[in-house]
Amino acid sequence: MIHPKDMLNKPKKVVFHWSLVATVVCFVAGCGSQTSIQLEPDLPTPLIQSLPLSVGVYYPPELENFEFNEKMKGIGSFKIGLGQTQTHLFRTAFEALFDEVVPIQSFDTQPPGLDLLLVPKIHEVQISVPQQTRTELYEVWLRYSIEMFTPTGQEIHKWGFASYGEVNTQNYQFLSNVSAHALQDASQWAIRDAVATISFFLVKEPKVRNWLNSRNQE
Amino acid sequence: MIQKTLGLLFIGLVLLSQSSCVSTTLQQIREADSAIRDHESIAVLGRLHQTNNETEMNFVNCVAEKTAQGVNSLNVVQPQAFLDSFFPWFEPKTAPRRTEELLSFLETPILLKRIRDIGLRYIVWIDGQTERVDQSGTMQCAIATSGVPACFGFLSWDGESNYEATVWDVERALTVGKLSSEASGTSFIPAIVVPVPFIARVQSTACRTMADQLQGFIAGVDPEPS
Repeated sequence: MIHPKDMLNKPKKVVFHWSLVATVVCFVAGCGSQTSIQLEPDLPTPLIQSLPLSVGVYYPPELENFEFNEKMKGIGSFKIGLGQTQTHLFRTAFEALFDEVVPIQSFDTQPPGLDLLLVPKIHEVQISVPQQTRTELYEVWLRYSIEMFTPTGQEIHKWGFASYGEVNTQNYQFLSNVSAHALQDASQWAIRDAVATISFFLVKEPKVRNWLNSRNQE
Repeated sequence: MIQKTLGLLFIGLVLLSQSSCVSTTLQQIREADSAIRDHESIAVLGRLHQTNNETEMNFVNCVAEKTAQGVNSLNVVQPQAFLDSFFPWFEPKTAPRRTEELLSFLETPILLKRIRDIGLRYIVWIDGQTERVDQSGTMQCAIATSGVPACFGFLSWDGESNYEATVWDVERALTVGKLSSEASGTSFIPAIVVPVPFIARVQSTACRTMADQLQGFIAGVDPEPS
């Protein structure tokens, strides 16, 4: 005969066993936490003198749909949705750098009067977390390129650059879900760094400078 | 009932717990005279991305807030507002590292206009960290059969804050001087059933003393030699 007390205990025992099994499986297989963040477009306007150029920008569809996914064995899985931030970052930088910026659907449908065509691309996202590096840092690297063409399609330059963002866990001591907050902020710093890099260094590239000088001499 | 009473006792003891003593050391080196007019402002910034030696943002924000308070308060542009306003000139890759680099800033018309618009006169760079050192002791907590939590043991640690502020005069593109604020103290938590923390608030003490020191230093008031 089963005692009523045993009946009450039974489901608890089953739950305990399954949770134990799950814990052991996770320990062996390397289960970890899941961190998923979606970046928001939030950038200040660069304080720079714009160039008197009219620029057409083709934003490839991959730029808007880019998503980062990585599973780190024994640490967890990480997902960063870059979403609209990528188009926003290039638009922010280009609108500060040039007097007129026009998005174009293709090179064939460009409006008349453009001086330059740009194609920004994102190539790679890398992250590192404190559990990997034994530091207190969450780090994010973004790798981009900007292809520059004349309106007739002649390549002027293909400029590759990287941007970087990091945050220290010490700034997140009293928050729950530190990895999500820290990765969000490190990614925002990396995006901010990308805009700063474009604003500062694009027109300093020798090939771009030469092209600008040759235009001024015409 | 016992559980509830002990719970209330626990909360009461935690609320009544004392702050431990914190000792502070202040130093300053003046390299040039300083003064600030009513319409002028200062910016307080931390060096970003120094890999593992980054100054805590909450400390930089604390110094900025405290320097803007009190009878000797100064006009302070808060750190994030300053970085956004001058974006991208004070980002990790682009921020000036030496006062000589400020000269090129002053020669850039768009930057010079922004500097004049907000009346920026001094930039204060803060470097340093708070660390926990020499932790000792143990504490064990358990839930007794009656469901009452209880802790036994003793924990202690030393906290050390070491910060340095470098003051740049934007108008003259030179370093006015350096201030340092060091604070240290021992925190401890004895526990006989209920843990009673005595926390040495070294970072907040370092922040308060550095802000007080900055207010006087920028106004051109030097402390009396002791």
